[in-house]
Order: sequence, then C-alpha cells, then structure tokens
Amino acid sequence: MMNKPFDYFAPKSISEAVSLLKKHGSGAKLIAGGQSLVPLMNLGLAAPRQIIDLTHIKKDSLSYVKLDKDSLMIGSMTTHSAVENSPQIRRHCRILSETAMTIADVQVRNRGTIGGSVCHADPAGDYLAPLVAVDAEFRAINPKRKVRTISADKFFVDIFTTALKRDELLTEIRVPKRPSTRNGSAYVKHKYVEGGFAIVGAAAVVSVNKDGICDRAKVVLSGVSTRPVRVDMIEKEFRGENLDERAIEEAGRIVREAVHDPLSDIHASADYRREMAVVFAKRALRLALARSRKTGAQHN
Amino acid sequence: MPKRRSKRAARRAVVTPAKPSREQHIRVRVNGVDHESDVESRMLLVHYLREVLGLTGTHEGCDTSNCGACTILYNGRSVKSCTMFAAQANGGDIVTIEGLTKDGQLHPIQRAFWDNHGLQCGFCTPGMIMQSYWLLKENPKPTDEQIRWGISGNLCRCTGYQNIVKSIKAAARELR
Repeated sequence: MMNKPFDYFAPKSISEAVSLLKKHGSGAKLIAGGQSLVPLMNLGLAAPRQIIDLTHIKKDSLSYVKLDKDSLMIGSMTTHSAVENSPQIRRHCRILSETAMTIADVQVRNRGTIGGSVCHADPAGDYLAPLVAVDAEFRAINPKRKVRTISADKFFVDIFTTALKRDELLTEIRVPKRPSTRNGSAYVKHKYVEGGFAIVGAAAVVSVNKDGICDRAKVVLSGVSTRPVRVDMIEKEFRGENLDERAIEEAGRIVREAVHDPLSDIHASADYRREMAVVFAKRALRLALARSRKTGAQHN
Repeated sequence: MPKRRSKRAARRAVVTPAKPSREQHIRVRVNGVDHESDVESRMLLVHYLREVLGLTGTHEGCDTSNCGACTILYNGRSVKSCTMFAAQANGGDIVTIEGLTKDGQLHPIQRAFWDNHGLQCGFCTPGMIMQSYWLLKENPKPTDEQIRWGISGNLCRCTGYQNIVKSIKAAARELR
C-alpha cells in the first residue's frame, strides 16, 4: 500500500529539530530508526503530516555511549546493535545489552534506536521494564533549550504515551552506575517467535550484602499492562531477607497479586499473561540472584 | 512574473536549510554508481531501488520488517529497505544483491547457495544472501547457531533453512 503523502524534513541539528516539532505541532512525527513508525505507516495505522528525520543530525550529537563517575550515558539515537555490543554497557549495565539482544532481528537492531523505542512506548517494548528497574533517567530538550530530566518510572505514562511534551526531544538516557560486585540483573521474556514482542518481559535487579542478604530486589514487568508494572511489594518485603528458593516462590505470589488487570489480546489472554508474569518474574529473579553472587564486573 | 519568482527563490535560499517538501532531491551511491533523483517523500527505499533504478533483485515481501526479503547494505550495515524512506538515504552508500556480482561472476556466497541447493522458489534469496554477506563480514567463522541467529530476520518458507545454513557455511570456508 502507498503511504499518505507527508512533508519530509532532515534537520542538521537538535535545535532545528525541536523548532520544527514546535512549528508543526501534533501532525508531526520524529523518526529515529523508523522500525516501529514505518511499518505502522505501511500498514495504514499511522499517517503523520510531517516527518522530522533525526538520522541526519550530525552523528555524534545523539549516538554515543559515555561514562562519568556516577552514570552511564546513552545517546537517544544509539542503535540496538550498539547497545547490544557496547563494552561499556556490557560492563556497567549488562541487563540493557541483554535486552537489546532480544529485540527483533539483526537488521532491525542495526537501524532501530533506544530512544525511538522508548518514545514509541509500546507496552510490549523490551526496554521499558529494564530501564525502570535500573532507575534510568531520561533527558529531554525543548525549543528554548531547556533540559528536563524524567525518571523512567514517570516517563512511561500509558500505551504509546510518554511524559514528553509535544515540543520535547529525548536526547539521552542515564543509568546510575552500580558497584561491579554483589549486584545482579537479568531480563527474560516470553515470546512466540525469536525476536518477537514481549508477551511478558521480566526485569530483575538484585543487590546482596557480603553475607548474601538482600539489600535491594526490584522486579518490573513489560507487556502485561499499558505501562511497566513495578512490583513494589518485592522491594519492601525482601530487604534484609535471605533470598532462597522459598523467597522466590513468595515473590511469585506477590507478582500474581500485582498483575491484577493484565492486558488481553490476540497473543495471550489475561489469565495466561498473569501466569506467565509469575513464571518469568521468578526466572529473572533467580538469574539476577545467581549473577549477584558471582563477583566480577561481567556479571553485573 | 520572472521578477516574482526570483524573489521567492531568494527568500527560500536564505531561510531553509532543511527544506520541507513532499518531493526530495536525493543523491545516493548504489553498487558504486552515483545516482541523483527527485523522489516523493513517501517513497520507500525498496520501491526506489526497484522502480526508479530498476534494480529488481531486491525483493519486497511484507512491508513491515518481518520477512527480510528486502535486506540491503546501507552505509555498511544490513537493513531492511522496506522500513526506510528513499529520502532518508540521501547521501548514503547502498549495496544490493546486484552489487555482489563482479564481471559476470557470481559472488562466492551466491555460488554456495547454488551448489548447496540453498534456495527453492528463490523469493527470500536476495535478502538471505545480503544478510549472509553482512554476517560473514562481521564474523568470518560463524558457528551453526551464530548463522541461525544472524539470519533470524529472514524468512524462508521453502527450504526449512537446513540448506541455507549449509550454503553459508560453505561460503564462509570459501571466503576465508
């Protein structure tokens, strides 16, 4: 099918991109890698009047991975392939590389970007749960060059809806650095085909003290609701506890209660999603825990 | 009339670095040859390659980035040309299946697909070969699992993939 006509803009700078966004208002759409937007347009499900292409902004201004002493900084135009293969991300936020690896296929990962994916905010998108679990922060800029920082938890508002204002552009995702030892994280997902969308995606982040007692345990789920589900009870209940198999079973029960109104669609019924949320949350927790008990940065 | 036109042209030249338009003028290099074209903004890259440049080796399967038949190399990386607009490729360097053949000689990957019965109907083959080309460039000695992982974005409904994997392994040996 032929797409509806649209005006195409290829701004060369971030400020030019945000002023175009402000000028054209709600009919305009930013395109990053286009791996969600173009299929939606080809299917006739989206028909923006203006397309503002971010791929011609001078490459280094939005595609990078950097480190400072507190955090890992990822430019919003960094491709999934780069997130998957970046040595810094692998070392300091393994869960994000692990997540990028599960997105679609090589060609899509070569083109799709982390910023595009989170701004699309598909509830079954893979980055949502892990970014909330690692306490990521999102930086956005507006036409007045004012920078706003939004926590991942507040960023994802609803299905295909983020906290970004109409004239804001996501520039960077920041993840706090954690010590390389006694921290573990994992992302596991339930899908029907390799690289498929998450029917349930479970992210777990665990810290233990030197006696193996839990300092922190976070579980966040994608795919089950219109926005990521933070299982707060796990964070509260497990601090100071020994995370043995009995505790993990208890975590499963907490997840079952937390997922009280799961999505129901052609891929999975609400009941099935809830059951799978329990199964995959437990798997993610077990894996994160095993990693936290191994020392060495590569297991972080 | 001529006066008014020139005034408007002058104004346009001053204010618009990124000119909005439903038509775009693009320059691309495809298989080492430079092309300049006026295209509609909404034209997909796969349509540009097939219908404007006449390079029909790149196939269009699903239009939704599922099947991989339209895989090409864009600035050195494999991408699906059905999920890019031609306008976006302005200034880019593209390699299609036609670009692999040198002086009428099949590329070793193409020959390996032939020799190992790596195709039946052939619809997925150009995309499969372009993806294999990228895969072997990145990893000249892939394991079976790495091959299957590497081509997981390319669907084949005939072969059951066995002979495709065999072909890629044979090509890898040939290229080393």
